[in-house]
Amino acid sequence: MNDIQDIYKMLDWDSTEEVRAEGFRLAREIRDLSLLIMPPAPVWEECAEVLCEKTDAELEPHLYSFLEWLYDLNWPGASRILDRLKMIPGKKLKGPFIECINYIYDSNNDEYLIWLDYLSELLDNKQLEAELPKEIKEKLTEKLQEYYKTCDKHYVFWRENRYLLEKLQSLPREDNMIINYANRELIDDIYLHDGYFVGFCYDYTRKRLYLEVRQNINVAYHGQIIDKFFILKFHKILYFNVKGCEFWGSSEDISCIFLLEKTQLEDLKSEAKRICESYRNAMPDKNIDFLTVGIEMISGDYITIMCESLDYLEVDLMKLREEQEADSPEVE
Amino acid sequence: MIIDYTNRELIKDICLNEGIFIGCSYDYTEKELSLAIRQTISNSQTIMVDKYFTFSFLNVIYLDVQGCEFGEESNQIACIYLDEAETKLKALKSELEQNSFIGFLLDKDIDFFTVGLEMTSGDNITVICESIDYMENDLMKLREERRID
Repeated sequence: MNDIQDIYKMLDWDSTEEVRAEGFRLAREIRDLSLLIMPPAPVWEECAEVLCEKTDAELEPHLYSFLEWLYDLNWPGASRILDRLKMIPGKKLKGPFIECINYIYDSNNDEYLIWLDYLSELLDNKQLEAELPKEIKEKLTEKLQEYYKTCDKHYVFWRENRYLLEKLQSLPREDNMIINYANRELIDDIYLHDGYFVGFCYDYTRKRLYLEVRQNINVAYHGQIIDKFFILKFHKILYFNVKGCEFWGSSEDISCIFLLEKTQLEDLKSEAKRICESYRNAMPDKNIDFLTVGIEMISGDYITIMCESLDYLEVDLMKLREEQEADSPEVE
Repeated sequence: MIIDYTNRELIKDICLNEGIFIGCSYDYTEKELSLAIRQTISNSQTIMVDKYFTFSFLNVIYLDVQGCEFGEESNQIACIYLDEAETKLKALKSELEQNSFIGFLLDKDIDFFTVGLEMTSGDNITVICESIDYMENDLMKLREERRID
């Protein structure tokens, strides 16, 4: 019988593919599933993968622990667990879910509100939603509204429209929405002026950077003339920097996005050479045509990103709303 | 624990070696960079270190991240360090002067300092900020306490 620590070690990202495959095989044989729930080793994603393969009956005794895993959706494996929980029958999930909501509600701890927000994603599970008593739904809504008041408007927008935006993201993309070195000139056609930039998430392991921009322009006498939402995903990032000195003053609005022809690639190549003379597999030395994108803020700050490609999505919210209204005129 | 310019030397006491860095999030509105690091060190028998660190860099005026994997592909941290040369901060100040910018944040009477994270891959992350809200959780100790309780 293998020690659980050995299995964790085998599952580790640093192990070879063969060892990891054996680790997965052994992990699938573990009967005490609690050993795979948020384990004391950096293999949460791997354990989540194994757990998600289990039947509803096998997972049922551990549902509360799974809900605890959702405390932070940035934790490895949390998104996977969330998706799996959305498929658990409402009758089974109802008890632990109510327990969690009551715990958060009674604790009166503001730090739990983000957890509550993540838990609310489980209402995508229509069976669960139907099972929940009115009183619990009211508690959930009350606390979420309280939480959203403390959040910035972009976050609230995203949370309130996440179903639509996630659906849009999963649609097949046109080729011209992927911008790389060959069609890099398309960047000059992206109009982000007055878009509201709140920040980004960077994934070092996958070398990806994700940012969202809401562009809402209102003009006197005409009202709202632009209401768009942009999602930009930069892939294979070699380098990025952010200057946040607010050179001209404080503002979250974007001035423009542009293509930078002068890049620091040569500097990075010399750096690679300096660090490891004999090593030729560093990213700058790979046969990739990188492009450099700049985002300039009204504040005078700017962001520079050197990447292989950029996956770009532009959603015209005004158009979408019109289409939605046309489809269901009776719905307000 | 809050680390700022006055007690910045404390950074030298933080051991993040072999900690796993998966990424970070940056809030431009608040000028805050957040990241979490899990450090698990074990030999073939037991786990010797199991810690969880959270860092919130506050009032970040500059950030740069390399993802070149100069040496090898790895998301392990080699160390966190205080960049006493302050090269990038000096460059920012000079950019401000040369362009006659107002420099809303830089002109305030704030002592910024520069922190670097060096990765085993050879990549470097540089942050210039006003302070760091830093938390170190010893998960082994927490588990032990929970067991006793």
